[in-house]
Amino acid sequence: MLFFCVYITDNLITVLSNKELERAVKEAKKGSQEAMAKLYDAFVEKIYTYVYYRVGNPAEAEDLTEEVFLKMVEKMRYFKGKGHAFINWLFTIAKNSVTSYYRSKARRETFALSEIPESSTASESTEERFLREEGSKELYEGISQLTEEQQQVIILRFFSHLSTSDVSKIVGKSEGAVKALQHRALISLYKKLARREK
Amino acid sequence: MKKLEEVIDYCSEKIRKGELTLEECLEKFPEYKDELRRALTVVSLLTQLPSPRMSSTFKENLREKVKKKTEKTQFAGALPFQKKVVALLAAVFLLSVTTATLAVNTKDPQSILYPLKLMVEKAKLSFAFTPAQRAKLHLYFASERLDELKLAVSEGRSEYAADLSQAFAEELKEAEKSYKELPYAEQIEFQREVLKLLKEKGDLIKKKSLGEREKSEEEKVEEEESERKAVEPKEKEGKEIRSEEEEIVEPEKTESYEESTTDELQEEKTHIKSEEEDEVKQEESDSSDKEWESHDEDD
Repeated sequence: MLFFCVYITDNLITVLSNKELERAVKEAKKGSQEAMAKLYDAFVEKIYTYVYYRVGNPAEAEDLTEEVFLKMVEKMRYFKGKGHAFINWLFTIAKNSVTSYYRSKARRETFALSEIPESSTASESTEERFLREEGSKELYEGISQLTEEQQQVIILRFFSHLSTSDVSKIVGKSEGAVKALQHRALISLYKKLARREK
Repeated sequence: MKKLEEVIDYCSEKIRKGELTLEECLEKFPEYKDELRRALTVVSLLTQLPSPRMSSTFKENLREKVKKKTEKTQFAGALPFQKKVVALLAAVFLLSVTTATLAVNTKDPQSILYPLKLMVEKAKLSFAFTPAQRAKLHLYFASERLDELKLAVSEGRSEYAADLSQAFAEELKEAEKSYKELPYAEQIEFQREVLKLLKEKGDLIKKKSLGEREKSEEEKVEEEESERKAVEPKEKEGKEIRSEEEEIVEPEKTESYEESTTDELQEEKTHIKSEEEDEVKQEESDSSDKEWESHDEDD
């Protein structure tokens, strides 16, 4: 079965087949600069998105993204898995970097965006944009009120576009537990949004 | 029937990928209609949210940093393929040479490497293309078998002696088959070598039989000694018993000696006495005879 990892960013769609990913990881482990750059290109946006939603600040998100990729190069020779396992490994580095970031700042790991990500839609009117941004703001606020585990699952599933199986490996829970967390998080968000509308 | 969590997960994935709409999902799973609608409404909103964008300068700079860091970092499998192959071949070659050397040097038929030694010998033979080369090799192998035989004999492992001796004979036989292909000078040398080996073997057999004889003699001496040792205690015991008896008997002996001396004296006395009596009797008889004679004369 040929598995395709599809990474969707605003205007960029990076498609990396499982075979290509496996080859890139194999070469990167040997120290190939090209392979390392290929992996960087494929995952930098996803890691940045994840970190951004975890720390809520673009500048700090950039710093942490840099830290994640430099660690990736440094620890690549210790990575024993191959192919798809690399995604879980890279996101685990990102998750640990965020945890260290919060520990050093002595802050609770909460989601609090300092600014809402800008939309790339150029055709919408100012009013439409205002309404969408208001809706987004409410949604982000709702996410910030979720438990830490629910936040992790929502960010990884809907912003980093990872499968339930991958999320379960990163957060260290079973797939069933991840699905249950996702269900509770979505219902909780719905209730919060409905309350605000009233 | 699927669990609600599983249905939500399935529909979320489909909506995110644009494969199904919210309404299609609700139609597909009418049993969870209300709960599914709430969850999937939020999923639709989440998928519409814009992703945060990083600055392109930062992205490019970080890319360069990653490449530089890769260049500086030492990687375990950094050797190119050709170098790896060469290293592997060198390792295999070294290992085989070491093993073969060890095997070739072994003279112990009991060693694990001994069969390898024989294999190496066979391999050498297959590379000998002329009868002369084969003759020389067989002669060399015969000398090897002889050395092994010597070792086996010296270490007292006679179970290998017969086989080694036979192998030695076979190698010589094989060598002799093709030695005539050698140049004349080498033939003489070859024959000398064969004679030398045979002499050595003969010496070895002689030595062995001598050794066995010596051994049997030694064994005899040992047996005698052991017998003597076994007997000695008995003799000693006998002597001890006798001396003990003597110790007990000695005083009696002295007494009897004393008794015997007195008896002898008495016997002598009686003997003297009887002699005296006999003399008296003789005199008396003589006198009576004289009397009788006188009487006769008177008559």
